[in-house]
Amino acid sequence: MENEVKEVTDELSLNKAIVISAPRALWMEFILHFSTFCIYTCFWFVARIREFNALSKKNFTPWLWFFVPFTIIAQLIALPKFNNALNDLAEEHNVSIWNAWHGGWTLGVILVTLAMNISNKIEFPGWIYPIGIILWSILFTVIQAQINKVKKSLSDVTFKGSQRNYTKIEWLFVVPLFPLSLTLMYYLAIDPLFNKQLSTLSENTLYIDPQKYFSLPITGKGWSIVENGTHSNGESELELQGPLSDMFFIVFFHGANESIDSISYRRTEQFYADLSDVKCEENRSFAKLTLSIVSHVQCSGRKIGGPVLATISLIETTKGIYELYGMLSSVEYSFKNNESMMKEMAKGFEPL
Amino acid sequence: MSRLIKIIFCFLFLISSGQVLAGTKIQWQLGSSEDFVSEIQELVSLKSMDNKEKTGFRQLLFDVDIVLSDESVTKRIRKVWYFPDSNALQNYGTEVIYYDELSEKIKIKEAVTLNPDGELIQFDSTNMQVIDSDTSDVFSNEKKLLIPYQNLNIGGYAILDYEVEVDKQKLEADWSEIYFPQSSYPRDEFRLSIKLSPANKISWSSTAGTIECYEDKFSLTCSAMDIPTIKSDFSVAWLDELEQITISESKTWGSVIEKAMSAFNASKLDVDGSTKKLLELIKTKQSIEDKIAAIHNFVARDIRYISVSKNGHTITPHTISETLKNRYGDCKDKSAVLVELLNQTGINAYPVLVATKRSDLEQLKIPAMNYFDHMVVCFSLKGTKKCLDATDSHTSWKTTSAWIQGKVALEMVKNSTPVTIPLNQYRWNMEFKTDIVFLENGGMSEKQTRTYLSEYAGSLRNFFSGKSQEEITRWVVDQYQEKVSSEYEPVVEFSGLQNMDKSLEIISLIDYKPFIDVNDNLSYYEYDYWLQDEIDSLYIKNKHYDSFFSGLKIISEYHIDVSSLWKLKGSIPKLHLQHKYGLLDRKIIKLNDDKVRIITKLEIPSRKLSVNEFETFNKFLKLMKRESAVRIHGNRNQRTKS
Repeated sequence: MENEVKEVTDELSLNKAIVISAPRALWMEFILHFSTFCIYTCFWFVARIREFNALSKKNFTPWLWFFVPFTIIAQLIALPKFNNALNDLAEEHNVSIWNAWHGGWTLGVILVTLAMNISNKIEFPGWIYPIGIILWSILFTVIQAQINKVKKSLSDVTFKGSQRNYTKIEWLFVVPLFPLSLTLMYYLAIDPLFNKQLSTLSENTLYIDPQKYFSLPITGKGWSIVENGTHSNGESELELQGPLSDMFFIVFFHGANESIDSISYRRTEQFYADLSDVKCEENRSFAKLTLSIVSHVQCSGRKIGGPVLATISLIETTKGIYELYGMLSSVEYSFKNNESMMKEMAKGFEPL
Repeated sequence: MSRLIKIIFCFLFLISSGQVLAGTKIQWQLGSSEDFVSEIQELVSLKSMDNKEKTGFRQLLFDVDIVLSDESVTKRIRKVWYFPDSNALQNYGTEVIYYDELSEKIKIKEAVTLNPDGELIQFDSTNMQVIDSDTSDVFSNEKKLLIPYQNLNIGGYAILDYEVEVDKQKLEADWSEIYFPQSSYPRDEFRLSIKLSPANKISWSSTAGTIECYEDKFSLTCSAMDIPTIKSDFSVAWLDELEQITISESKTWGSVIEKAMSAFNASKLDVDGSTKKLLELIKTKQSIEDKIAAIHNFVARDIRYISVSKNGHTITPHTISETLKNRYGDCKDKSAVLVELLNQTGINAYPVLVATKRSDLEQLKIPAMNYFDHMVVCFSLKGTKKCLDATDSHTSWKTTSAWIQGKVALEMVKNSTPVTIPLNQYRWNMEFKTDIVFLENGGMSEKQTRTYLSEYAGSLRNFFSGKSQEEITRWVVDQYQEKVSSEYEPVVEFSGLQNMDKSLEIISLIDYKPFIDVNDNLSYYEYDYWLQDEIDSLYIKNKHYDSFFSGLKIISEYHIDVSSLWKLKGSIPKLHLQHKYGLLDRKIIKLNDDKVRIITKLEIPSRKLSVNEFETFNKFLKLMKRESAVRIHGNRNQRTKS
């Protein structure tokens, strides 16, 4: 009786064909990782694990692998297991295993993940991000090559999808995201190379307006004067770029028809509209012992989840009102590191 | 105004000249100074020929010759005027000679009109007028002799030569006199000469940089030519600003004090009734402060102000008994009673002479009595000096009356020299509290309490004195409508109107009609009207002379409740506008999403301002006013949507 049952079960198993996705062209895989900013990798892991389970009777939990790409601790356990499972399959189907690559690939993935995790706290130069995404995409394209080899050696499986085509959903993402990614990469990596920097400013010096209307202390390293229009619509008197990409000051001149109240109100309204969790505080005092009123507005808020500091310093001069508009938007650690510098510079904006 | 009159007449005779016990005569000896008239005729003729005659009304000559003797002072005064137009004729065509009816004799030697054609017209003495300046509460010996020059034509001259003889035996203090070479009209020539003798030594001083004085063994002579007119200005302490020559028979400040104290002590010759009055006043009072308050209240309020400075009472008070019995007196009479009652209470109070129009000690270079025109009482209490003005029936004894702060004073105690009465940093001291609640219908309810403190409370009580409750209410409502809104009439309440030891509160309640759309976001400006009004009243308007800023301190607190109609957003600027002239400080306490407390403090300490500071100071005030406005914004709460 027991033998009869076993035979029936075996027969049913043989009849149930293993369906896996077709080995896809490597350049197509690269584009998917790249243009989705590596989010595709999460789905890629889940899909590959399902295939491993089907092909080698492994018992991985596929959905857990969704989190592997951005969890370093998980990667330390998961990536060797993934490689081992892949090598087992390769061995089983007489495909050369890639032991020599094994450690290097794992380390590469971990390092890129680590870098990206750190970049959530510390802002890196813009070109680091494209390099990281490209590296990541290459690493998963490389392992995809080994997976493709294994897949091609399989005889008892049915492939779904095309080797040279994306699914409808994939096309839906690739078509808009690929050009967007390229553009973003350009602005992150290439655009800064076209230097708009006019001159660098030394730490702990005082910038004096050539027309002798205002001065601004330079606190910290990495400040430079950039072309007017770099951060504004070009109507500025002066623009300073800080050590971070989204850290700058703009000096505007307002005519006699403007007042400190009106400018302060307009800017604050703008911050309330553009940022979330906005808290503003305005302090007014006289500049040194003069009768020139200086107004310092500091607004803190968040933009795309990251902290933002916006400052407005307004001074009254004999010519009219000068405004120092400051903006700092970065990841947490870099923000904290530079926040006091921004505030100090904004407070130091004074009439001459 | 009543305050001003009290002070002016309190020691009037000290300023005008001397003091009195006997009768006065005016003698007419017209034509007895022909040489002088001839000299002027020649001078005028030469000037015309020289074609250098100056245009415009002026005094061609002011010449005083003084001869001192043991018994008298003889002053010969000669004046020559030029009248180029009808305005000058109208305003200066009548000569005014002030004199003391009992101690001074006047001899008119010449009063002549010289017309452009050379005609001389002698004044007819029957056309003279003598008037006095007594009012219902001020009686004195001062008289005015009026000489309306006759047949005076445009382009004509007036020549006056007269003599004043002062009987020193009838003076209550040493003789002294102050001359001001500069006047409200130009002077071509100023001459002052005094004959000196070893027996009659005098002290003299001059702060007049444009006047040259020479002193030898026998005389003192001061002269100047072409003295320009005084520049008119908005607010000037003339006695501090004008150049002056002081002549005095007093040798030391000690002798001035001795004479003044001797006169003052005459009030103690009869003190009957004072002890009984004191016991009556303080019987229910426990603390020394309460006793002082009761005594000050009595002297300031229950003894009314009437000045009877006749018959030897120019600087000598009436006896204490007499003042208590009459229940009236002037500054010295009331001060005498105040000193006596305080002394009987165990407080070492003493009288202090005050020059209410002088703040500059530098002008008092030599000892003289006639700098002073007022008397107050000072004492030390727990290490703090207090000065009480017995004629001030509106200011608490704890506060020095506004009009004597910073003024030159001479304490009538041994070895004293002139000092200035301590000056409060902030004469205008007040607190405003405003509760604003926005209403569902878009209107607003406002309760405002204005609290005026110390001197300011006294000044306001003084202003309100004599007015009925209805008149005061009307005045406050009118003021509200003028400063805040002409469309509303607030309900007004008062506190501390009568009690001089308390602050004065004006409470106004008002419900504003709907003026805000509650379905829209809130954007509201709150102008601190009272604070702004105080600033407005303090701008310096002088052009030529230094000015004194008497100090302003305001604490204004707003409680604003937007009643859940809006959620407050944005930031009301915190202020810390610190400058050498003062401070505007504002703190914002956000109580929750719909309530905020705004505390504004304005402090501008008293100070003397020089002409070149006015522009900066006024700009400072303007900025204080501008920044005191508060901007409030709020996002409409969803539940208020219609």
